[in-house]
Amino acid sequence: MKKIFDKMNNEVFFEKLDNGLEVYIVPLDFKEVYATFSTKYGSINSEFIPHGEEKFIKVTDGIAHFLEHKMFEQINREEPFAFFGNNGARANANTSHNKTTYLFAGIDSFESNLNFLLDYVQDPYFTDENVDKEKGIIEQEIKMYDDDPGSILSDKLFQNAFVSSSYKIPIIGNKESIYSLTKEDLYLCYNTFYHPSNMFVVISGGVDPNEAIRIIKENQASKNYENKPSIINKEIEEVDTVALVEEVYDMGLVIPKIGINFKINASVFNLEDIKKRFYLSLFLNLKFGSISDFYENVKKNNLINGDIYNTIYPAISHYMLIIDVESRTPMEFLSEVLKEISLINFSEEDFNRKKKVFFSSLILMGDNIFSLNSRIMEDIVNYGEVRYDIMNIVNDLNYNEMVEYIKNIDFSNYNYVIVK
Amino acid sequence: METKTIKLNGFDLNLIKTNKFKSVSVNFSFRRKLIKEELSKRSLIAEILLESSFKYPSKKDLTRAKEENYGQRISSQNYNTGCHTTMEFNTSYVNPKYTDCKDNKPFLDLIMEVIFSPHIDSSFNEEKFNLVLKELKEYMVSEKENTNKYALKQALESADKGEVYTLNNFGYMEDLEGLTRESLYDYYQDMIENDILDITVVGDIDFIEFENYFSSLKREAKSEDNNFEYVQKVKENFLELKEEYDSFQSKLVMIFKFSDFSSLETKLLVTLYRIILGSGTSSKLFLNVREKHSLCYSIGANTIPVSNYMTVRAGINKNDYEKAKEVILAEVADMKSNISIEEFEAAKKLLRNSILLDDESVNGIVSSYLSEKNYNYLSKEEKLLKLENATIDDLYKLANKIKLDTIFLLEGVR
Repeated sequence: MKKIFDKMNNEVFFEKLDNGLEVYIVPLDFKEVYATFSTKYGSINSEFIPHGEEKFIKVTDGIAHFLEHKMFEQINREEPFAFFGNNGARANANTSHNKTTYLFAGIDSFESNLNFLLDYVQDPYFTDENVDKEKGIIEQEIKMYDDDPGSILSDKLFQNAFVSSSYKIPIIGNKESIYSLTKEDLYLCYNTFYHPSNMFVVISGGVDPNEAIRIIKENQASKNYENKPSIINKEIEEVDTVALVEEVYDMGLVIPKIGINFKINASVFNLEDIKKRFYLSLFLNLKFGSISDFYENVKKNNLINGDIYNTIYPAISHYMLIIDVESRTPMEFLSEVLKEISLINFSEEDFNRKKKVFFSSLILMGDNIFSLNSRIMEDIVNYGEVRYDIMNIVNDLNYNEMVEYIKNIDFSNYNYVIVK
Repeated sequence: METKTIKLNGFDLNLIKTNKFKSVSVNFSFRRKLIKEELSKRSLIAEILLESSFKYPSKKDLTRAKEENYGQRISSQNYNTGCHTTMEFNTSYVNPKYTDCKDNKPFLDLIMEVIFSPHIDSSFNEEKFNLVLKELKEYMVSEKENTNKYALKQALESADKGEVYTLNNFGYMEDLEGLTRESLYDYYQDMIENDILDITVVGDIDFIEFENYFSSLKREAKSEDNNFEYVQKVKENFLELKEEYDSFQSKLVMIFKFSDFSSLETKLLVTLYRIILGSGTSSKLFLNVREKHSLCYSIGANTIPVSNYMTVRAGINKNDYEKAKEVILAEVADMKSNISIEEFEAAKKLLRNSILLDDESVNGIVSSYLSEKNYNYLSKEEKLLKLENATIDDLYKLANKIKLDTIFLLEGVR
């Protein structure tokens, strides 16, 4: 079934297999092919009813990420990195809050690579020995992040923003949680979340869609998957207030960093989620980007070093609006942000200009094999479907609607972290 | 792809037509001989020109102009290649045919304004000068906080402090003493007038339009300095040093030097060597140091052929130092006589694909084009042919010309 991103001239071929696996193919005029195979399972799936059971359990922090590492351990086939390397392809994997992705990128041996990707991810091999071996590696990864001020800032912003939500748990876990993991824990999570009905494949680049779908169908037909298991994640109610407003962490930095997060209730105001995210992103840019009077003033008054970084992060029931800077006077900077945040002091002209920027960034998504692939993956985990109408949504954005939305937002729930 | 190089008034205009991208990219590359004392000035210029311009005297105004041009991106960077240093300005924008602009002029006008029409009264605007100077100083004093970069810096300086290949690309605090906006502006004018300049355009473009546009830029013709390769002084015995640092993880850096490499070894074979030893998840270092011995999370080898050296870097526990050192050196020794046919063929495939993929990104296209043009690197076809004919013995021969020079440990004591 073919669909097209409206006004972007990018085709997407979609098929859902009998076992529930969803497949998206985006042919692009490149030699290389980029294939991702993802499960809708990440660090936030920490309390659930395991497949075949009836009661909720809570799993160890960092398990989704640990499981991702262990998928590369194989007994029935060659080690994945070596296999893909021998085919001249690059391979990797990553874990986020809401998904885990396994991928390869290569020019040759597409059928062989694609079959291998599906096979190794669908054939876990966890033993006491190989689980123990991984703990040392992940401990080093944790230490690497513990030495990085940016990672510390980000982790603590999340930890302190949420009272109950699993978004407060670091994706990688911590040393204690990692060393407590067993192979049984890994199998429990794998068997619950790695059924094809909870997974999807996205392939972009120099690919023949019919060929790709044929390969995947044949591959999946040879495997016996019982009926789709129900996945019941515990619904965790998150309050609007933050867990900890202020944290200061000493790393002996010359110039401190401050991250400020405004926790916004996602259900406020009757507007589609995707539009709210665009408006919030625009809002942050207009208020704190280099086009703003705020930016000019804080630069002039030496309140920041370098640029203001801002982002909006969706966390199911809430959005996090994050602003971070380097500043020798972080509390002064915070004070200025708090004075500024709720003011509607941007013009319609500035707003319309930002729309032009969005428009062009969507056009340019087809300039490499990775951007559209990522876009599709994010749409699936965030919206449950691919938003082919995204260009129409951007065209539809209007200043007055945005102003009305912003006026209804409560900015009084915020937290900040200073790393100094 | 269709290409054309035109020698205009004191610079080369390189035009590369491809309809692979919906964007148009223009790269301005200013290069000259690397002199330590000039690095900080070049760093300041790369920043100050992006703050504002004569027509757009504030960052806000300049940002507005970029947004008006559909989010045109403009960036700058400095980097060193052997004995040369290069300041690059890059701009990319959506091809005008997808917009209501009738041609490339508004986009080209903006990047030309940024580079060639700075925000000056008699020299650089004082407020902007003070801002970028302050920020560069702040960057320099906080350099130590990035343990990866700091460990590398300390390793290089331990090996050969002051030598051109050890210099960073943003300059040194002592060279900022006494610098004024006037002296910086004088240097800028000298750079604009006397650096070797390449302008490279990539996209679905009309050659005539760009040739006509850039014909108005006038400079004196420049003579090329082709001495960019740095020849290493090889030590009799390697150095081994440690420095304590307030961090959880320790950073291990090993420096190896090359001597008497042939042109083919420098331009191609050493990359094959690097892939097998320590590039990516199927390399000897990754599979043995990390996967087999669990000694690290990140490990890799990086070769800098123009400066004739290689680094191996890993993040480890300090208690694993001796073991990590032993395993890494064993893998390096293996490269002299124990490369399997599977490893070799896999690396050839990876490198072959990497060469083929140079055409699939703007950065790859520009970098390959300029390397071939300015540094006599092999063309894509030549690389593929020579790669096809490369043998394991070629790599053994190369491996025997690589010598350990320095081992440095930034020892995390937290």
